[in-house]
Amino acid sequence: MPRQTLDREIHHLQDEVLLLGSMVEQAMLNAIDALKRRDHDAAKRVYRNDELINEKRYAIENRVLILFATQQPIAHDLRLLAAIMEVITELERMGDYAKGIAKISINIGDDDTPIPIREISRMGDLAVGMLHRALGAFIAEDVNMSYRIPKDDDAVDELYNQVYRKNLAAMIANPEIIDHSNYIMWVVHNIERMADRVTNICERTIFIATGELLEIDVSDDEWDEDEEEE
Amino acid sequence: MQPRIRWRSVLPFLLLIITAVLVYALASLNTIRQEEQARWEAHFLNLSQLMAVEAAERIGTPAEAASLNQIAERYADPLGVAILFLSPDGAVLGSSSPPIEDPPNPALVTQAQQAGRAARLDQGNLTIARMIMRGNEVVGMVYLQVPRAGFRADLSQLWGLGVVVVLAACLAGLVLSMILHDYALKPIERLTIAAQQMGNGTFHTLDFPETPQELSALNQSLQEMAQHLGDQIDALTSERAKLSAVLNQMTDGVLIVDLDGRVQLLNPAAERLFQIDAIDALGRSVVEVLRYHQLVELWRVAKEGQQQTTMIEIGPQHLFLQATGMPLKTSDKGSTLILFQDLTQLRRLETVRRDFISNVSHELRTPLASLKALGETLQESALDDPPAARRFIIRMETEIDNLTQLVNELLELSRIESGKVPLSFHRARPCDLLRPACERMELQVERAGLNLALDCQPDLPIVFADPNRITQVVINLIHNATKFTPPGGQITVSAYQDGEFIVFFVKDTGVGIPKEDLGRIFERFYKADRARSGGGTGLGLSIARHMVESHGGFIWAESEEEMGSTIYFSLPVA
Repeated sequence: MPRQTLDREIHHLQDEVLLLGSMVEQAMLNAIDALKRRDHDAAKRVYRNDELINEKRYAIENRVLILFATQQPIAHDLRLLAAIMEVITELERMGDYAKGIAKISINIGDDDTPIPIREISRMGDLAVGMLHRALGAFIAEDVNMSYRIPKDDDAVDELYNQVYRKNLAAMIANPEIIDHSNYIMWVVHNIERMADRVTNICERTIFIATGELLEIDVSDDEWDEDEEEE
Repeated sequence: MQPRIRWRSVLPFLLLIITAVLVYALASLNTIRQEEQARWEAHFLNLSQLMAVEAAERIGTPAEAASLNQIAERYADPLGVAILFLSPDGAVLGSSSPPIEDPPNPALVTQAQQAGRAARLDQGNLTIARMIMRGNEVVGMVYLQVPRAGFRADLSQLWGLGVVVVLAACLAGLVLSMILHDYALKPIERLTIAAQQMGNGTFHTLDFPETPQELSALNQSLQEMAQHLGDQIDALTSERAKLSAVLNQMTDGVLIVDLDGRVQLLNPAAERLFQIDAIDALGRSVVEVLRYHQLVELWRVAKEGQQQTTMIEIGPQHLFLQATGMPLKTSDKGSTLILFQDLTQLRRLETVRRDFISNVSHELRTPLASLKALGETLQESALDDPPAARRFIIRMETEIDNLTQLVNELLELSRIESGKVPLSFHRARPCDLLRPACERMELQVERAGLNLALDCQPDLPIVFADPNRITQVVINLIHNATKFTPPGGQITVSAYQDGEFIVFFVKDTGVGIPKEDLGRIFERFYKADRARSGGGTGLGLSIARHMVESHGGFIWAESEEEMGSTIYFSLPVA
């Protein structure tokens, strides 16, 4: 296949990554919205639509593998395709976080214990905004932007800590809502993890542009670099 | 380019001139040469006659040889010829010196014997044989050999003249034709320049030349064409300017995408909606520009030829968009137009309106439900128990008062909002606006276990206000502060000058207002903390805002949760 075909395929793959990212962003926002409005139908839709995200991820993966096999890409192309493989994995995982929130929303049901929805919405907006910009930088290979985005994670962590303290106080005051508070902790944890994973996408962008694989240093803790939610 | 055209037209003329002159020169030279040759031959024939006559007298005399030789010498030298005298039987009687080496040409001799004379031009030499007669008797023969050299010299001179004439004619022809061509080509060159300028987009200020008749039709057509094109382009430009003004100024986003999914056009509204520069976006894929899969889906549907409209909420900014994708039939095949209407603001207003109605209904329903319950209880049993009945009636009265207050405030608000409340402005000292409010609220504040302090500097500039209304606003603010401050707290009422405004504020040490609510507390029915919303209609701050704004002032709030809030409002200095 001539060079042009490879370029076209890569452009197409980049578009597909953006679409996958858009689906994940929407899933996260919808999940939080469903939680806010206690809209179980919407939550179920998010839960079901995760399947579409997974399918798209595998479709992209397949195409990348075919390109590897038929084109033997080198240098920049190779890094880009490898990074795409990594990024779609991250995106799929973020989709799972959204699905997790939808699941919690269904579990909470009609329990009308107040939810710190303002903080949760704000966290969601921040994390989704980070993802949106990170994917933009990924396509544009904007290294500067990729260094800046992970800094926004601090605001997400700050909100996480706020909800954590509030929840803790509420649980101490009223042990009956421990279950509920736990659910809320899961929700904010999912959002917080999503924001952390955006950092990985930024690292991949830097990798494509410079060929360097490095860990962007965010002040955040490394100890919860776990693999939950599988 | 221009010289080539010139040379191309000059060259044939030159060739023509050269050919004509050459042909003429050749023809005339030939004629001249023939005539000259004939005359030359005749001349030597005549000379041979003279020699023959002279020789006839000498032949047969004793000094025959010497005298013949003498004759030969006399003629030969000045004429440059060789002469031979022969006897009829062919013996040499005399000759010029040096003698002719070749024997006389027998054919010529024979011819002369028969005709009396003969001439022959052979390889440049003229040979003449003439019989010498005495009476009717042949006594000998004179034989002449004339070299051609003299004759040739004459001709070469003529040739030289021919060449000079040809050159002169060529030069003259060249100069003339150049002058003529300049005259003919100049207008064409200027027409060419005019056409080039048209190509560069100049139509109205073109300089058209005066042209000879042959070109005037072309000139005329070009001028008309320039005029038409100029007018049409002007019309198109102005049309385009209008369209682009519309496109740039319209609040709806517009996007045009080609068949391959590349963005071809993006107006400023779309730039704002999707936070992208048109310069960056043009030529990029629609996915990269829009970034939302629902919108990309809309584009795909439109590309297939179907118009579709969807409402979607996108991104962390929670933009609420109505997007319409439609195929562009008039322009390139496969192009699509996508229109975006930003309905975020509209939807927010819709939410406010819906909330308002639901709030009003809720606020009305609560006292009505109490009234209903109280009435029913009264009807069923309490009538028999007069003290209980009285208690019930007092509670009913309270509920009715609440309802009345709510309805009054709603009416008041709607009157203020529609600008129907007459304000009677007076010059007033800021302290005089604050003091009555504090006095009226003193008791209530004390009862709530709070401390109320009025801190007002009497030398503040005078403001222009309706004192009753402003006092009402302050009472309202103190009332709010009382509700949200736990016992033991402090409420401070004060004012200060800030440029052209006097800023009044009511500060408490209460529960505070969450940051997210600060902007919304002046909305109707907005209650920051629903759990505490037992008292009040949620209209107080809204009324205060309208009142302050109709005075030309502003109202705002600062707060820190758990530390207290401060509500400020400003009035312009009189």
